[in-house]
Amino acid sequence: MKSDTFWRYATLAPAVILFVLLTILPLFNLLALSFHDVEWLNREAVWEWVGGRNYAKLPEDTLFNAGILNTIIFAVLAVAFQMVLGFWLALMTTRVTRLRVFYRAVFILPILVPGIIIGAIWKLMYSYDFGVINQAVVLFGGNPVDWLGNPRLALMSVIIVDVWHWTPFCFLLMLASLESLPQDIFEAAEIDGASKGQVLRYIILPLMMPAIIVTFIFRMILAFKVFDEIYLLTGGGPGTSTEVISFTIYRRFFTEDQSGYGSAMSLATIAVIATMIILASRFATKKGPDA
Amino acid sequence: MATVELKGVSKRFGAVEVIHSVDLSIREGEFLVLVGPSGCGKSTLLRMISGLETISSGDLFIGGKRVNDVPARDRGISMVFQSYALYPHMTSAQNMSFALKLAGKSPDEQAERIKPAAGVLGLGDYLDRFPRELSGGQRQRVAMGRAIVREPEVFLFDEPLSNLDAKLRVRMRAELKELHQKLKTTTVYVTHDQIEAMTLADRIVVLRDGVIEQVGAPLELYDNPANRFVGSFLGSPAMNFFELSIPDGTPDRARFADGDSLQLPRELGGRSSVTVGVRPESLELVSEAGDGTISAEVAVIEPTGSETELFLRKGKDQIIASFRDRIDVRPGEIVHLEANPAKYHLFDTTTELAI
Repeated sequence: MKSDTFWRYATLAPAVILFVLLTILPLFNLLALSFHDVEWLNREAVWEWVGGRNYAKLPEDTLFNAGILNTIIFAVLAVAFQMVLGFWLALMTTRVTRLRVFYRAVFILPILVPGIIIGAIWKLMYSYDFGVINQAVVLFGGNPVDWLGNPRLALMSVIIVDVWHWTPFCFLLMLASLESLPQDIFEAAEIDGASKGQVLRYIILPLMMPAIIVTFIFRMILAFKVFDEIYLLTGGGPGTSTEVISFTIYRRFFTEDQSGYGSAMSLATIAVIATMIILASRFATKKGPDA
Repeated sequence: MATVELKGVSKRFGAVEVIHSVDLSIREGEFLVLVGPSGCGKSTLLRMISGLETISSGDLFIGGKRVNDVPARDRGISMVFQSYALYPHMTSAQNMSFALKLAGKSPDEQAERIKPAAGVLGLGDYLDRFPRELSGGQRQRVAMGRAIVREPEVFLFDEPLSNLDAKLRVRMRAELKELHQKLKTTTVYVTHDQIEAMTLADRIVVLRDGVIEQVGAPLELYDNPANRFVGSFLGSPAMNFFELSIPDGTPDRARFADGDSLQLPRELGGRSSVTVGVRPESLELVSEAGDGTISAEVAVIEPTGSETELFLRKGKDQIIASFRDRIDVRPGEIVHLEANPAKYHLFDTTTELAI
């Protein structure tokens, strides 16, 4: 029994060590960094202890505030649309038997394209002068719209791109969940007298809730980290209208070389994301039938 | 309670017809069992009655009303599925009251309606449990409870006991029968298990390849099978069949290839061959070969406690005989069997119909 326990830990150790080295240590390093200012003297990093000053500065940083606010708006709206669209597409395609593989392949395509290329494609499509979207607008008698240059529209335009990019991800997870539901209960519901709407409300949605929550958490985490699309489409502008938090961190940390302050900002962001995940999983365990 | 009537009902999947013009009349309050081997169309027929499957041609009447185009929920039926099909995210009580909730009944009324059903099925202590917290037998009861609560005109059961272990199946079978005696609701019950069919049914319908082979009371079918298939399907162990020749000049005798011959219960003039069916329990062991005995070699002996089953070989034929008494024989031994000619079932060798 004793050697059994020993081997259990011994075989687990390499994975634990790797995990600590790659995940926990950098996080601690980040935490330590966030309480310091780093200066470069004679090609050496000099850490100066500043206590909680980096954190205290955060609420007054207009770029950080705009970044957090925009990121929350971006994440909530984009993920909401992706979830609803993905769920709807899954509902529609699960009943399709003809050309099933074709439909699915088409829906999944956007997820295969790298974000940076998606940014490039959509930048061309959104172009004020020759973008295909404005061409369509003009064709239908409208005036060209500055999709990415208008502060009121820019964030929405970026959200549309993200919805296009990530809806297939939600679709895939929802479809997998939907197709794993037992089919006989739908027949039982039919005999019990449930309409299609009632089947959706009382059977499909409650049973899919764990999958919905997991998809939601995944997508929220990824949406909070959005960078490449926005970097290429708007660069955070015009003004701060599409400034997202990963962009702000990038600026502060690397462009302005404020690694201590950037670290504090990163940890604050992690705290926000973690809070959202904890809340969502609490909700999941409360509502999910088999969670 | 309602009658169910099928008139020329057929089912086609594409070009393949799986149910061929079935005519069947189910009486009010009757317990009718559809039985047949896998793929015979019994479940399809049940699903057509339920409304889960469309009817390709013919007419279906429930309570005298044509319901071909009536959706499942409006046919006044309840169905118990082989897999129980309980809603996994609902408690037993919620499962049972779901139909009532959909029908807009108040929570009080729902609780009121499930109470007697839960009482009948002994589910009182399990109402707040989810299906995953219940045993197979309890799930089965919840599924039945869900069917009862709707107070249907007709109960439909699709192999409801086949997922239970043997012991529980016997108990649930008895409970089902008792339930039917209490509620007296018209019931259509599908099974491939001929013992379930024999024990539960008022009448049995034997199906093969989408065609009704015979309809009748269990013992009527057992004692007078209309053809070789029905004879072979009902009864366990299954009926023995011997394809025998009728020598010229002795129309009341049938002969095995090895020379043994049987006295037939009546003369079969004009025939040169006959298939004789003998139930395993009709055979008796005799100590010596004689007129009308069958000699065979013992292959396997299976004592079940209450009975002893002998598997014997006679030329190419295999014979099964079962005895209430314990018998002392050994594999390889030649034994002699005899049956009362009145217990023989005679079938035409070609058409397989009873003669």
